[in-house]
Amino acid sequence: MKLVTEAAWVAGSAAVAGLGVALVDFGETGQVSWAAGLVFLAFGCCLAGLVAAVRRWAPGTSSFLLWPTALLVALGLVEVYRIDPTGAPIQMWWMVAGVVAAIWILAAFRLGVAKLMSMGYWLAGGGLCLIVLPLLPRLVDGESGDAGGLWLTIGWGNASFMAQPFGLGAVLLTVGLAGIHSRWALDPPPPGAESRLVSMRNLLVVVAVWVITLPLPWATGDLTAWAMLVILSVTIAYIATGESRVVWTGLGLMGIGSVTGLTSHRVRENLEVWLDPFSAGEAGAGLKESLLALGSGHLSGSGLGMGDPELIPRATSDWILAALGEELGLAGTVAVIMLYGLVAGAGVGIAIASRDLFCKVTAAALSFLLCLMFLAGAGGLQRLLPPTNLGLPFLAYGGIPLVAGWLAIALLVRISHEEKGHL
Amino acid sequence: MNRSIRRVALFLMAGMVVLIVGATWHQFVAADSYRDHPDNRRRALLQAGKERGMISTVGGRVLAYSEQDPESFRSYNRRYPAGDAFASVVGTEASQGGLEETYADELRSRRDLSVSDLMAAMFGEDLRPRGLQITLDADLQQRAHEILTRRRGAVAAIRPDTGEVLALVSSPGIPVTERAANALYPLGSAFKIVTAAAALDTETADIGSLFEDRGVWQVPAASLVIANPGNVPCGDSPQVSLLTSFVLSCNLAFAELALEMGSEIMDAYAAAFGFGTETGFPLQTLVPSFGGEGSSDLGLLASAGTGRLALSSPLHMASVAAVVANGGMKAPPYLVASWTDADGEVIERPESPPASRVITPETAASVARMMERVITEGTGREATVAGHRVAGKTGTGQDADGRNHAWFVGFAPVDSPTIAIAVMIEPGGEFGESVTGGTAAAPVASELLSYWLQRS
Repeated sequence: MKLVTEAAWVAGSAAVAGLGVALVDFGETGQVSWAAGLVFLAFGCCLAGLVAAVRRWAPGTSSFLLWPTALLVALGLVEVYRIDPTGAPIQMWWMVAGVVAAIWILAAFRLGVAKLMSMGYWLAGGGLCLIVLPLLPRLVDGESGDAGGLWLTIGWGNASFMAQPFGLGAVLLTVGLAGIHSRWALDPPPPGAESRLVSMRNLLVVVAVWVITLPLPWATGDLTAWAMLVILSVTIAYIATGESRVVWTGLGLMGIGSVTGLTSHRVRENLEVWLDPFSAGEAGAGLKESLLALGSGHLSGSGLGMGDPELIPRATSDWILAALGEELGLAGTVAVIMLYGLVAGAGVGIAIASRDLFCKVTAAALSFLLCLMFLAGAGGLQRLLPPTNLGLPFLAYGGIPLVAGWLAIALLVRISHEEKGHL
Repeated sequence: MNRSIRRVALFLMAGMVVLIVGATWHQFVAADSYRDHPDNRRRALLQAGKERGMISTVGGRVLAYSEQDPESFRSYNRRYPAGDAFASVVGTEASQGGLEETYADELRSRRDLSVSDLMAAMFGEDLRPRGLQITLDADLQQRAHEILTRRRGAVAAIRPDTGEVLALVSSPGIPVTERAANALYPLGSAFKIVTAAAALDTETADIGSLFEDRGVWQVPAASLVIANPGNVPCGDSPQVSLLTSFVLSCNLAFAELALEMGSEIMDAYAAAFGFGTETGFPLQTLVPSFGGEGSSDLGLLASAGTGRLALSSPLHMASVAAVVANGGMKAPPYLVASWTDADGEVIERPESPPASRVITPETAASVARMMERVITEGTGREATVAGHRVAGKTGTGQDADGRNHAWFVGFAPVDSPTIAIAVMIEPGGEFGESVTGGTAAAPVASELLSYWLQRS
């Protein structure tokens, strides 16, 4: 019976990808190309491989985590194919890489994820390094990348390659922080050694993350992405300790960081775009065109392949949700929100059911991270927050966020398996 | 610990709800303001590439059609096979204008592959673009375009009994602007048709009535002097007939007639001939005027009677000639003959406005006689067409800079008119800076009329 459900969602997601590509082709040219079949097969094989690995190493997991993720990736792939057909095969390969990474996680931690706890400092440190990596060239020569803050352009010779290490960094940071805080929660200081420093160590971690990421808005202008990191570290500390003073401290730190960020002209430009994208000129083009695309999509959208999302600059990476909203309408946007809601809901459910403290904190933190990245990206698009060029996990073009997303999902799958008592 | 996780989950859920509200705002409540935002290029992109119906003449000449773009499945390219001669009437892809702009919505295909579209198609509604048939005579239009090639000016021709527009030509055609219907030029003496018709119709005068004409006339109770060209008397004696004044285009008789009839009668007849009234013609937005509307100023009225203050378009003046040609009945000019479906079947014939009587048949006959004499022995000799009886009136209107605009307004053949035309030639081009109705406009009219009369 379970095999039937699994086969159903694997085939269903692959069909969404294949059918979407076919619709894009038909909407644009009136014909369907062989690409649709290829995508269906490739997508189906990827997911079948993943399911096989899950059955092998984490059979106890709930599929509520996997199928919404697979649908999101399928939707993202279709829209990337629609806007940039040459980018779609690359994205498909990244999908393969993401699934391989997920299978590797399942295999590598088949004896339990608990050993990650002791690697907390390394993971958090590595994650922070990845996050601030794109700032280095900018800090050295003051040059600002044309694609916006969080992108790292790696060039050798004439070839150059754009990458956004933020997503992977955030996943590593999340697991690392979960490890650090859980370890302290499991291992309370002996009553006699109650020094001021020990009682405040959770807060100190929050402050440390804040200090290290403080140059981020200053160098990239992206206040939202930075605030997301602070909220993430505060939330993990709050989940692990339950102390509300962590939250108040975090809010204070965010206020201070925002005010200092305002001294940066990049932040101010970004805020001007946010407040009035329609008169912000070239800088506001992305947000402006995205809003026009969203509105043009209306309730049911223009139909796949029949809108004009190519009018949006960097539509595949930064504004993929606007492109989807134009072609699939409000219905499509709400469906995407629901799918993220399902992923986050399944993750939170796993966390609540978990008995192991580290597993609990990690599951809650990873679900929170995935959902928070979506809230930040979509909130920026809807002008609820200053716009960010953070790539939406699973949807956006770009390999690193996709692989990072699959890593997080694989960890959640593994934890949900362990939560059932398997180890 | 589960308590803090639940609180975090609540925070996320609240975020999701806010996003759904936000999405509803952007994609439903405020969606129209984004869709219609001036910066939104989608509408223009959609319309530019859409299939539009064929524009053709009733005679079957194709003027514009859409052809599927070989590169892009959903977009169409517009073709104009009939060339420059029709550009000012039909419009072009680049500059729009003309019928393409006026009937943009009616011509465009209503297919957009939307759900409502599919529904409409299921109920058998034809969403394919509609075709437009216009009354232009393709050969006459082409000929008029060729004749005007090295000149600046505009020509309009209509069928007097029906009002069908046969030709509307503007030169130069680039940049494409329609000037035969939708531009006003100083009219000069060609307006005397109206003054004379009013005088004869009200029996203020007949064509033999004598007027004192010593070349210059001080308008009583006004500080204005009316003069003939060159301040010379019209005839050999100080008393000249209305006929002679009309044929030689002298001014004084018409100034005196205007004063005698008074402002109300002049207003009424000018309005009946279409001065100061909207025409409803698709390409025309400007309203001709004779310059004396509602004025109690005697000097102004006297001056307006001679046509010095009148502004009009060739299409309007062709319709003035048509009233005389049609025995005093005015058939308003129209261009749209019918709408067809995509298969070329006529589905709608716009109702032409009813004809109305402007002057009595007797008046029309008298004015026609005077206009024929203009060709045989007056200022319009150059409009002669060998073997055919032509009637007409010349005019030379001056704009504010003193530049002449040459007019010929007339019809042919006199006994059973098949065409009424108006030719307006601007300074510049082949005739140089100094143009007059008799020397610049009349020869163009002659060429056009002889083409038309020989063909039919």
